Amino acid sequence: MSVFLRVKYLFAKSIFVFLSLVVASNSMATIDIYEFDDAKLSARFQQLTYTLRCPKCQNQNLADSNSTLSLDLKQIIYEKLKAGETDQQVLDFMKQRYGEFILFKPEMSRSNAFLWAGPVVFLVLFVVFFLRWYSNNREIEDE
Amino acid sequence: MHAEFGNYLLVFAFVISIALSIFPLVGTFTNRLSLVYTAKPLAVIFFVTLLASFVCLAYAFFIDDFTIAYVAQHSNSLLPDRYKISAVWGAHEGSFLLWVLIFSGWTLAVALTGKNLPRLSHARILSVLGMIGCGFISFLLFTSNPFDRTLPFYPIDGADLNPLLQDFGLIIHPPLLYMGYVGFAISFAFAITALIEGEWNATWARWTRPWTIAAWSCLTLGIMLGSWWAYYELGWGGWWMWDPSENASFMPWLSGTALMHSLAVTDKRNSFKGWTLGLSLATFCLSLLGTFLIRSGVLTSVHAFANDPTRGRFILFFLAFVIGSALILFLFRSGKVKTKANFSVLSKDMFLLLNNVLFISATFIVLFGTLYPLFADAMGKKISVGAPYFNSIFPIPMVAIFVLLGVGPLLNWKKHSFSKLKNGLIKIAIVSVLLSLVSVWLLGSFYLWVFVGLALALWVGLNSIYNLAIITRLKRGILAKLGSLNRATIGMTLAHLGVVILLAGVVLTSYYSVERDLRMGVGESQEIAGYDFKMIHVERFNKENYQATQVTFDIYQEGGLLLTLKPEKRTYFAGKQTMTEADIDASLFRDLYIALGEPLDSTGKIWSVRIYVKSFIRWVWIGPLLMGIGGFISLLDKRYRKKRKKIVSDDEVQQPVELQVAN
Amino acid sequence: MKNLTSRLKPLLSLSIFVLFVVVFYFLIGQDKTELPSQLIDRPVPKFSVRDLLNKDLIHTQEDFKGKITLLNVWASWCPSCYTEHPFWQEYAKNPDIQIVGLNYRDKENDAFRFLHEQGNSYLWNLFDENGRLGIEFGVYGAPETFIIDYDGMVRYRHVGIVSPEVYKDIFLPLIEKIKKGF
Repeated sequence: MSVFLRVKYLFAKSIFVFLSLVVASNSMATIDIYEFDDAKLSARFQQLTYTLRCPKCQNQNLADSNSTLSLDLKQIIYEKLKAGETDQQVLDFMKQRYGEFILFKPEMSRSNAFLWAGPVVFLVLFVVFFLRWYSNNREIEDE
Repeated sequence: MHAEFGNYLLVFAFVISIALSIFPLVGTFTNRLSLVYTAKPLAVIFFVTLLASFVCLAYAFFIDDFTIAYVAQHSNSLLPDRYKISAVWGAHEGSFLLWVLIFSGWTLAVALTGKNLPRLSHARILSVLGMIGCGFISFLLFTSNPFDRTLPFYPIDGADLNPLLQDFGLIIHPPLLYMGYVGFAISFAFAITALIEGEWNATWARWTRPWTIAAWSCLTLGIMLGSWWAYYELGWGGWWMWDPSENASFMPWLSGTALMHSLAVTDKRNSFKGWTLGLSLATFCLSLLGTFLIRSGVLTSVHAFANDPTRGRFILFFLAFVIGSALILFLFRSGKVKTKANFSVLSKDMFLLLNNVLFISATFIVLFGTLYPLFADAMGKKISVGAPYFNSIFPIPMVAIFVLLGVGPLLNWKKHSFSKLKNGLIKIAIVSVLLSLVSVWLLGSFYLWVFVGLALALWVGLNSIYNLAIITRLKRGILAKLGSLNRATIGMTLAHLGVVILLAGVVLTSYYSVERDLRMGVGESQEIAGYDFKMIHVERFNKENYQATQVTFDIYQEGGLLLTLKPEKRTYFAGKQTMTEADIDASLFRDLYIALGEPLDSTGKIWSVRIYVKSFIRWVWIGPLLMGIGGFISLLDKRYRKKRKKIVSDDEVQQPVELQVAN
Repeated sequence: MKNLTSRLKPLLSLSIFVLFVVVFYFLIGQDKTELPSQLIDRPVPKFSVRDLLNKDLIHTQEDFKGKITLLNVWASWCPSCYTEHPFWQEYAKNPDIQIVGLNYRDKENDAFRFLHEQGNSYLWNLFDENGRLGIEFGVYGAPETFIIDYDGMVRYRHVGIVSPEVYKDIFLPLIEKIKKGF
């Protein structure tokens, strides 16, 4: 089975690659392990595997993990993307089976409001209080 | 005998640390100079005994003494000598001995160079350090003694050092990192003493500054080395994963950066005292918090030490004691040091104060994201907070910091007129934006964050050079100009340029790197980002303590052979662990990185391979390297080596030699 | 007013500090790697998987109805499963429960060999060669054991070996509870 891959980098380079590959290589059996024809799907796959956590590893995402469970889950993501599912559907699938733990990006839910809003609120309040302190206590001698 | 000696030396060091904590301090309050004078010799003995103990442990590794449990668990007779030595700090007990040793080294340095401090204050500082050291040593002695024996039985050979650690990175990363972590204990001790004495002024700050800068520089380099090591060792090309253990080192770094800049203000303007005091305390507390998180077993991380609960509880109590005392002292004794808002909006003071606010917020973001899963777990909810969270929120204060960083160094203290500055700034802003657009166009695809990141990097970089130009405007000729700069200014500029390179590297590598997961066989070829990767052959061979399967790749560019990479898969004899050893071709503008996955067929000629073309990734480490070097250069500034008048009081504040200011 | 806020600030900071210490103390010693099952008090996921020993027999989620089931996830490559396996012989003597195996990501021959050498205490075994059924159950390692009630609802998941202590202290009380209709 010979599969030919077109790398979408720059148009000129793509054409050059096409020609050079046809001419130079002896066999074209190299394939992506998770092979997509559409670069957008490939990008989504990468994104999803970075944002999902390996359930049994010590703090690794699916992309970087070689455990069998991670490989199985990546295969499932691959099949789902090819079948046309959305990112949210993939995330929901994982969450239903392994819980919120598997999401490296915490959901924007009410229970996580504190997490997402907290630091930003802190920053804003800090700056606001600081500016108020400054304008109230400002004592600069005239030069 | 060495195991017994090592252990007795630890006990002796423990006793010395108790003496150091008590005698000088008591002497300062009862006016007994004889007790006060014990501080220096005690500090010397403290260091020497710990050094000797450390040497005993290193010796045990060197001669393969497997009757010592720690050696048996982390070494092996086949382990190459250089790794036997670095294995001393390859796991919890030994690395903590190294930690305490480095701490005693810093304490010794403070003891030996305290000539110009008031005698009593110097003694108190050493006592505070003694108390901290006592806490560290008791943790070591009572819960994590590296000299525990396996007797009466002992293994014929050891379990081997984790293959991931059999690497140059282990030799340098922990020592530098620890030097940074514990170095901040010095400014902590200074702050505690100042709070006890009820006095904190510019001369205090002047004294603390070099210690803080030294610790900060070490920590910067330590973190940089950790990132670089993870990149080539772990096999998936990541250089920062917002892993809790990475965050544990990043928090004191962020806080330490704020501290370092705040100290500059207290030094020069006798202002921001409350901030500086607070940051001095907070930074070391964050170091301790980091230690706690990593060694207590509370975190899940590849990097966390597996530990039993007793150790966790011990560190927790020590941490609670230190932070609690610092908190109480600060709350009840710092009231006298109110900061005055005696500067206008456009002034170095204002910008540095905003710098404090922003860096503290950044620290809080990392703290929050790291602790939230732990707290949620305590409430029964299992949640993960990873890179996507931090990458969304962390840039917010960072963008503000970079905007300010462009202007800050140009400003005068107290007040600066905008009209003088306006034209220069506008020109530089326009140039930054344009150059950034041009760069992005040259690179190919437009990404907003790359544009913003490069524009900010140029903004800061060009302004730094502009600043130098203004400072040296009265000199003619580039050599004269450069020669007229004092080391503090050179250091600062270098460090700021380093941050800028780091920023550029981060955005460029994040968006322009290419990664492919491939199924490849011998004789096959794949084009990625303009390079042709061809798998040539597979071979097997044995080394000192592992068997390797090595796959050779030839890499072509535009038809011609560029270089060869040979990634390996290694199986270590002792522990039977298999790991992948990537091969990398590094260069300033891109790395070529190949890591082997698994053989996909029985002949071993078809493999799953991961190939990266990482753009500009070296910048991610060159940046912090320059930052660290800049820090060390500024330490060499004349003023820190000038004979100082003794510190007396606020009124006799000595004229600080400062960063040259543009007028 | 100023006195109140100035006294409030230290109090607030100190109480937050104490809170942190308490939470950390509580967290020490807990197993950080254990995940709670998402299936508790939910029906067994729908599936259709063949029997390990009988190629033509297909099992579905309906096979879990009508009896209390202990579903044990095992594999021949899992070292702890060898330790655990003899216990199932004892537990199988309990008339209130049926013990069913989920052979997870194993090769048929390896699984046969395991049962032949270690004994077969399972009523029947699901053959999940590609691990997909395990993923439906949220399995992330072996051994794991699920307790499923009369209506096919998952009531509990245990991660790791079901030692006699675990069986006595956790499983039996829950089985009693289910028998009583709770």
